[in-house]
Amino acid sequence: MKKKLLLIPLALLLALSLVAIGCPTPPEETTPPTTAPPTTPAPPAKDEIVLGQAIALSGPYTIGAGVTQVAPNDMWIEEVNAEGGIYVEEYGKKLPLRLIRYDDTSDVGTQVKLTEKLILEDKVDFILGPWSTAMWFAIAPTVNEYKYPVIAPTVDSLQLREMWEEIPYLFIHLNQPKEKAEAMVDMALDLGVETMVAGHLQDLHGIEYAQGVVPQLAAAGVEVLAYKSFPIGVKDLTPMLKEFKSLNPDAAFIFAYPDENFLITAQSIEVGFNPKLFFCSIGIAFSPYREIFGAETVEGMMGAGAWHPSAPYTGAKEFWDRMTAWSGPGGTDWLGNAYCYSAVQVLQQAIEGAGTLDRVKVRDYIASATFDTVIGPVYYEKQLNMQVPGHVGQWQNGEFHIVAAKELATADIIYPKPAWPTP
Amino acid sequence: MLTTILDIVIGGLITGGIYALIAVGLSLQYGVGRVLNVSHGEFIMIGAFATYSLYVLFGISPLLSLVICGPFLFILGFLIHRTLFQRLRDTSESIDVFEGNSLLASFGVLFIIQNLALIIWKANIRGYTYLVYPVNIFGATFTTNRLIVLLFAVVISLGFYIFLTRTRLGKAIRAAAQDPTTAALSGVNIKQVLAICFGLGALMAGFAGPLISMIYQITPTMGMEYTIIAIIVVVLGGLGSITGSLIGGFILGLIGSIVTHFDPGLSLVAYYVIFILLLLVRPTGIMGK
Repeated sequence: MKKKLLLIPLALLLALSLVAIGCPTPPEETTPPTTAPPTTPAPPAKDEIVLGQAIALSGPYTIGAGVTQVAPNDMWIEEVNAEGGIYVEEYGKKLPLRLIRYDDTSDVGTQVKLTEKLILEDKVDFILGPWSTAMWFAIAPTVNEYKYPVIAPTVDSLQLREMWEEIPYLFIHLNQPKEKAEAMVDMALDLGVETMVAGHLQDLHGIEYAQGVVPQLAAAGVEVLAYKSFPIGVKDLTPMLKEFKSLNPDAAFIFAYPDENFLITAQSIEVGFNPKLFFCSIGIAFSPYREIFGAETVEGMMGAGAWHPSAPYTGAKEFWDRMTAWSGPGGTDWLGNAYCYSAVQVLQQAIEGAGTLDRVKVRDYIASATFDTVIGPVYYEKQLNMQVPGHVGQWQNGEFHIVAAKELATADIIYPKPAWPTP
Repeated sequence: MLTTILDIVIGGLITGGIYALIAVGLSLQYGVGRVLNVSHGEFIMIGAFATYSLYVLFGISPLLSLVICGPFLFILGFLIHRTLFQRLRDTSESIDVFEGNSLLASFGVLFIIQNLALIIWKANIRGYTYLVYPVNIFGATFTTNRLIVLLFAVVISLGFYIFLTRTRLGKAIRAAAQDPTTAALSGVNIKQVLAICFGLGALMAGFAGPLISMIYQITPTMGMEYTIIAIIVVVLGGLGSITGSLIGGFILGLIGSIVTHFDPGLSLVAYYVIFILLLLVRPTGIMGK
């Protein structure tokens, strides 16, 4: 009886773990059905443009999806509809937008099934797409099979980028680790950083990003005093941070997600670890980061990727005013919101420019035109967005400014980083 | 050397204290009531968010929130058991069938609570800073809030242990854990005791939530992470053994801290290695019989 009782929780534990990390879908389910892709004859009459989106509304991806992507998507739809819709030349009128949104429950298999449902059953005109690299990776074959152009503002993957020829309908919109890493290396060398410590999360993001930065800095003569990794779900990193502190480096580079970066910030304050340059990759650009620790505390902290409303791009400031009003000052993402909004701006301008809802034509238009957006003039080479508003951001007076690359900066770098305020 | 040892031990006890609290809660619900409550983490989340809201909106101290959240969640847990799980228990053919049914029902509870929280608090990361003054203990530095978490975790755990061993209700709970049928024959009102056990499990979540919110950032979807830890500790400590869960929580925290000191990358690996080793060597858990 005892043994039996033990087996039950063990089996359940396994099941729970799978739920938590998102069950991988068996290969036969991820492969798109072999039915012929529907051709896209222009329907005789059209009163609306139907958009489809499967995205995490529950499960572990909900927070990232909600803060970064859902809010700017919803705001854009409301704005477009307030103007009467998107003008489509082949219909000679504006067509309002209607969104069909499903919850992918943060599960990759569910995401793929729902994307197919949106295409085959709901027959949506365009797809807005999910949140996170793994999800975009999973739907790449599906959207290509059915020729649905998608603009991915929340994907960060070397692998996907290298597959560009096989996935002509997927456009990578976010700036990618390679370029971000190069800008960081230049910045650190410019500042005269001589010693550093690094820590990364044991996942693709942490490993790829750290490998883009740490060896390059070492090769340029920066002494790497410690190079650590840590797992997802870690709850106490004070031993690592105490060791970092004892090494007294000029710079600390952390490559991790919000959970770990928020923890590292809190525990660095606790152990008094305050290097002259303190960079943590993801989540630093979230307004909640400033709300939780306070503007004074986060002053000088750096994060991956950057955008600022004062950058010289059409409508940037107005967009940020509206976004802040929409999500509240504590609910925005200084980097991701602009990227996600500019991605739908591209879709809108591509439909207007191509003058049709024919997805093949819209895809070709996206691939060849330049789009005026809140992150600047976007154009794609090998389906990769070449326009980048900034690679490194830094909190300064409660705002997340662009500080690298140098030519994109909206403020001078604060270096050395100020001490943590005394409580 | 002393500083390093203190760093490791106190750091481990802080994490372990939280693990112990959440595991004791689940241990009561599963070990005694046979409800593998996968929504346990959601109760912790309610406690954490209630504390956050009370602190940010009304300036109510998180420590005061402990005595608000704990009893509130106790009542909620008690009522959920009386209305949902007791009915399932009555209508299930056997205790094994009940385990399966109650697991499914608790998944339902999980989704209801999580989605309500997403509606109320939105999909966002929250947190606040509270008592982050550094305290120096023989060279080892900790912030006040973390030490308070440790203190409260130990006090609550000890208090609960005394309650179980010294009070009449505590004895009834232990009797119900060992053999519900005989306990019922001996005059224990088993329905009442099971509902109280579930309520006490929620009470522990109601204590753990505010403490967690004092030192970590919180999200409406944070629950599952803590549920999984609780399940590990419950199995580690021995099913049905509340003392085992208490000890198991602290042991897991300490092991995590020792391993993190040498290589943070191996901290979670260590948890699972211990877990597997224990199951191989002593499948009934530390205190299981």
